[in-house]
Amino acid sequence: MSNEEIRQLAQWLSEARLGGVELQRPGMQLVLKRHLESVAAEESSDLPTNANQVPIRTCGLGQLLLSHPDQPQVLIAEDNHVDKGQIVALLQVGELLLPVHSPQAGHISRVLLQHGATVGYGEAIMQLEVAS
Amino acid sequence: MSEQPVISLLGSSALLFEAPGALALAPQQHLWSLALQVAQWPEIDEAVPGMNNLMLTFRTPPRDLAGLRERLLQAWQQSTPLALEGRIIELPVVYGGEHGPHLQDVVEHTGLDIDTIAHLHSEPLYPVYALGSHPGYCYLGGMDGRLATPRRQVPVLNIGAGAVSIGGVQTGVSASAGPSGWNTIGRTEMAFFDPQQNPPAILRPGDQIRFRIERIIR
Amino acid sequence: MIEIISATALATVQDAGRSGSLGYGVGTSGAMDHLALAIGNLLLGNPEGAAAIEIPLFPFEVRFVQDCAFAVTGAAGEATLDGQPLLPFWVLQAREGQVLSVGYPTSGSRVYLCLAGGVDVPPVLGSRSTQLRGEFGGFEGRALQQGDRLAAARPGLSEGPVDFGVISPSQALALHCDGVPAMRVLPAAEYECFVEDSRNAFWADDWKITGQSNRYGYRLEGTPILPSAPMEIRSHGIVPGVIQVPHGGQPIIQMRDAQPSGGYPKFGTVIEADLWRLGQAPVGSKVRFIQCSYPEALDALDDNRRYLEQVARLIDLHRMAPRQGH
Repeated sequence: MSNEEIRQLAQWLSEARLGGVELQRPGMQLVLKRHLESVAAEESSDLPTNANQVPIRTCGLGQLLLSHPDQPQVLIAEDNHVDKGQIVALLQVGELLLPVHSPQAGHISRVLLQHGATVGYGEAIMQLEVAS
Repeated sequence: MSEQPVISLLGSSALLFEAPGALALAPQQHLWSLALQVAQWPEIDEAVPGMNNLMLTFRTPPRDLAGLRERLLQAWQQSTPLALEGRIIELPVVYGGEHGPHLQDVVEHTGLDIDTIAHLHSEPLYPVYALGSHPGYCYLGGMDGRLATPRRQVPVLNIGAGAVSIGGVQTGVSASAGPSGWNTIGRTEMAFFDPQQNPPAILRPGDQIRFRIERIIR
Repeated sequence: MIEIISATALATVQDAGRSGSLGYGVGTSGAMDHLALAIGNLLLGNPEGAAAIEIPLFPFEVRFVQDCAFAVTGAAGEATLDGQPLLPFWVLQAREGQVLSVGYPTSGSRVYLCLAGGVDVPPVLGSRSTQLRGEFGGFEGRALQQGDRLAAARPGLSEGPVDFGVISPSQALALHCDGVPAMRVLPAAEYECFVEDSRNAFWADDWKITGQSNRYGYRLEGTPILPSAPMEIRSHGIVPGVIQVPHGGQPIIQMRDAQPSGGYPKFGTVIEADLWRLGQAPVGSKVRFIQCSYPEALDALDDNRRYLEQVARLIDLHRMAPRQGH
């Protein structure tokens, strides 16, 4: 990870008004904290190792939204069918809304987190059951 | 009528400056002069003359409104009337008939007959006080007070281009088809506006219009 | 380039408005919801005031004749690209042949379709807004029709990020009074010339936006606003937001295509910062008015500016982020 990327990450944290983030990559561990009480990144909950169950992960950090602020309905619910690429949730970073897409077609078997939860990079937010 | 100009706000977008006294050409000339000066001020986008008034639109609305009012009053007191040298344009008018649908309303309100109205209307030389209302439309001063007829309670949805009308103590000619709350007494043929020209309006403050009776349809 | 494929009325090309020609009798025109226009442009990396299509009637359908990035902002509703739902205030890449369909909004009343680089029509008197009365500007000086083709200034594949959105002005700058959308109003010159009961009713009552409301003016229905004595007002310049009270006492708010001058008594002016709220108030809905001062009106402009700057800054950050595959 370059210094520029770390600087940008710090800026994201500030915009998202998050306390901090921990990143683990092969050969690297990065911990960023702001001058607030530190907020530990959530541990991934134990997920079933069933080959048909695929976690849908965030590709950024922010506030998890299960519905768009201008719409009353949730984007997706448990047991709903999803197409590959369909938006299942949103990540709010300040005023920005970033999509979380389903990596494959299938059914949502579990919604793991609540609307409004703070999430980090690569965090599993839903479980997708794919056809075997 | 108050002695001092009245300054009021049009939201946070503009200031309205109304000259005191009766509606007349001298205060209008004074306002043309003020407009030229004020248009240069950094917080002002456009200085738009009306009938013995001036609207100043803000480029950026100033926080110090009191200061702007002061400067405006000072500029008014210190400026001298600007007699703009314009052209005289003659417009032939067909009074009455299908293109003068409200001529009868003017007859009823003023107590004058159609011929008298047409002659009183075409007698003066009308200075162009300002442009407004729609592209190329001229507000004219100098109408004979005897012709004054209030604006209509229910405006007409669509009156054609060239409509010659009376609204209160004013008269004017529409430059394009559109709604109008004035009393239309006749029609003229004239192109008042071309967006590809610079300036796009054919007439400007300081020009004068003379209406010529082409025909009176009783 | 896009082609209008639905039968449509009243959709026009608008940008932030035409200034500097009031002295020729040319009103500003421009988007009724200038914030939605600005956000759509920011999402695309366009200049904030670039031209877009303002859509007041639905359904509205276009086909992309070329690849082009686009953003749909304003009223939230049923918008789809090739049948796939589109989120509100969102930017996306369209491919040649795809169809964008904008359905009836569930809230708000006007939708903006912004194209990469802005809608490419010739500027007239410094603006690409449509001047309907004068029949110039925008797309051939008229409302759009089925079959019209409009070019984008920057067609093709977007160089910047697509497939993201922003928190809408309705969320970020919400303003209500007793549960009803509200707009702030500054009293105008003739305010004191209306009877006190009428003045009090204006601030206390809900006002209905009647069916005779459009880009020229919004006719309101409510307790008649009565003058203390008849007034004959000399014609003077006006701006969008001026609330005129003709005979009968039912106010008319002059909007973006109103005559740039008028001679009816003025009660007040909806402040510039809140005009977008009116622009999104649907026919038949109710609104409330809140009396405010000049400094408060400027503060409101600052609030709008701060919101746009914040959005612009976040979008810039997003542009700089190393792109992740979907």
